[in-house]
Amino acid sequence: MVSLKSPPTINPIEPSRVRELWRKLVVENPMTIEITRFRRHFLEGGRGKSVNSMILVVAIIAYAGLLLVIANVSGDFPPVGLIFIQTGVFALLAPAIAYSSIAGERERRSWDLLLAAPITHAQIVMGKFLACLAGLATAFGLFLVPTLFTALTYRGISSGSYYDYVSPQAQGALPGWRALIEQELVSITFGMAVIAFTLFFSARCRRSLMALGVTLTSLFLGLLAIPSLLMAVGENDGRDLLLTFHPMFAINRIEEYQQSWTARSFDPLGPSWYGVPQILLNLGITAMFLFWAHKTVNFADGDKKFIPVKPSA
Amino acid sequence: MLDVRNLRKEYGPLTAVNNISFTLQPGDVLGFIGSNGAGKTTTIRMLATLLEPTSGTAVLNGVDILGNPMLIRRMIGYMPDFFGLYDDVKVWEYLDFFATIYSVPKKHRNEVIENVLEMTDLTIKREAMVQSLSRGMQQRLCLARCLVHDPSLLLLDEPASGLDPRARAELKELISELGRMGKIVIVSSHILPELAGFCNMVGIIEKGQILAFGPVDQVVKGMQSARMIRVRLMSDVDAAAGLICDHEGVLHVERAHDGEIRVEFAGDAIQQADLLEDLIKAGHRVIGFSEEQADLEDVFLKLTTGAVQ
Repeated sequence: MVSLKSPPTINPIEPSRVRELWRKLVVENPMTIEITRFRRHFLEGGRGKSVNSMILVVAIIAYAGLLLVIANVSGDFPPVGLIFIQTGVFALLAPAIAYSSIAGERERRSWDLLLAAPITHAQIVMGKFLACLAGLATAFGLFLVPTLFTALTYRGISSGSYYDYVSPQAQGALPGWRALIEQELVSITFGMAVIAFTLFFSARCRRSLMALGVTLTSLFLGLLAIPSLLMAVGENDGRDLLLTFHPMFAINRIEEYQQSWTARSFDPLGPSWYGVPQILLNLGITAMFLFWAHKTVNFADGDKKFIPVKPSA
Repeated sequence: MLDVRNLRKEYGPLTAVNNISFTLQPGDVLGFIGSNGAGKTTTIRMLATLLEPTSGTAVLNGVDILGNPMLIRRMIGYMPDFFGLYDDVKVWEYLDFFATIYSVPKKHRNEVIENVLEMTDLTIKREAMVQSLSRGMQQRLCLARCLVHDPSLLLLDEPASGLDPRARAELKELISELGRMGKIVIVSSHILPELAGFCNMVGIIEKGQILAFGPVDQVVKGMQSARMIRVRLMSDVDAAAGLICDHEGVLHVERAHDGEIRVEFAGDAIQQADLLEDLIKAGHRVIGFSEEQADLEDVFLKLTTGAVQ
């Protein structure tokens, strides 16, 4: 007798489960206290926070300087220049705000209190991520003002506003504002990925500074050293493919496309080819490292080491 | 009820906790005594679900710590031997954070925070930043945090270390009160006077093994094979010592430099009374005759060797 197997059933994620997950991880996540702590830690001065206050003052002076420069070169400064600066700042700011998120709890020895409480590791990691994201959003908001200003005043190509310009050859292609949004999305998702990357090392390392060191070294290798070596090798398809995933490269290619009629003519996909894969990649990296961090935070202080010791024979 | 069953923790070749078992009832305050490295903290961390036992388990109010750690976490309050506080939040924010974690309903949260602040005498510091609190206050805040969800079991690891005498006395009173409230309290310490007075149960641990466990009085009495009697006389100490030596129930007599006679005595209360009567009848002028009370420290020193793993 032949038994017929029923076809495998696919269980789609129910909307109610997604809502429940959203409620637990975001809306009702107790770890959102981290946002308050972040604000107090970085944005408020006071007793015992002289270093943070100094950094804040330096940041305010630098920002005021940037605004003055932008106002001074109004019309001649391309908005993509600001997005490059913003991405570079994110590459340093994200590790700076995330490196001690979990390793710092271990150093402060408050980690055990969280692990002994009825809170899931996912809630802990997501709470930390949201707090860092709030920091990134603040920086993004500060950059958005001059970026919009330069986008509206830049006269690089045509006599009118750069982002009102659509060439006859670009029928059906993307207008400038969309390219700007894609560049911003590449930059923001890159910042998110760096936060998740840093959180992962913060979850794995016993010491905050070790997490910061590992993160910055990895970023230096991945964003500067290896791409520089690839550039030195010469042109080939593999190199170009690798560079496509470099955020600065992707932002630059979107810009090149935006400015080049030829590129628009020969590339039917438009800047999306350089923007969307990079955005998806960054979101994927973010999700992967957050998941990895959540899987790795379960060792309590003094229980396991970063590199497990092999049992002796 | 807490039922600890053959709890064991191994770190490679090292056995930190070796098959310990005990049972505690609501209202019991257990003094968990041991030298540094004896296995107290490891035991407490296993009960707090922070460490997975190599074997054995513990059951709190019918819930297994291995089977449902999340539910266990809702029933315990764990205070480690360090503060581990966030110093950049206010006192009420810190308690509110943990009340949220422990799913205290939002409408009751303020009331709960007020209650635990009052209990730990921190009401006046409600709006203060955690970093501005003194060490004693921070310790009390830690305890307040443990209480926001009204736990059945409190695990307090070296709660009074580093506190001044006044803060220590206040903490003792607070722990006694928690016991009277029907909570099971496990207090680990290696400072014995710290535990005396408010623990009704005692467990002595060394090299991961429980050497003695039970009500404090019973453990102390159980360790006393003989009593020590101190006798002080006006004069003629040598003659009195000779008389005592020949008395029934006397095991050993020792003359101290200050003229006091210390008698190791195995007899019962009647024989002890007879000894005093005989001394007086023999014309010795007795100015002191007292039994030396053994305490936890004596028991601990007698039982343990001070060895660590």
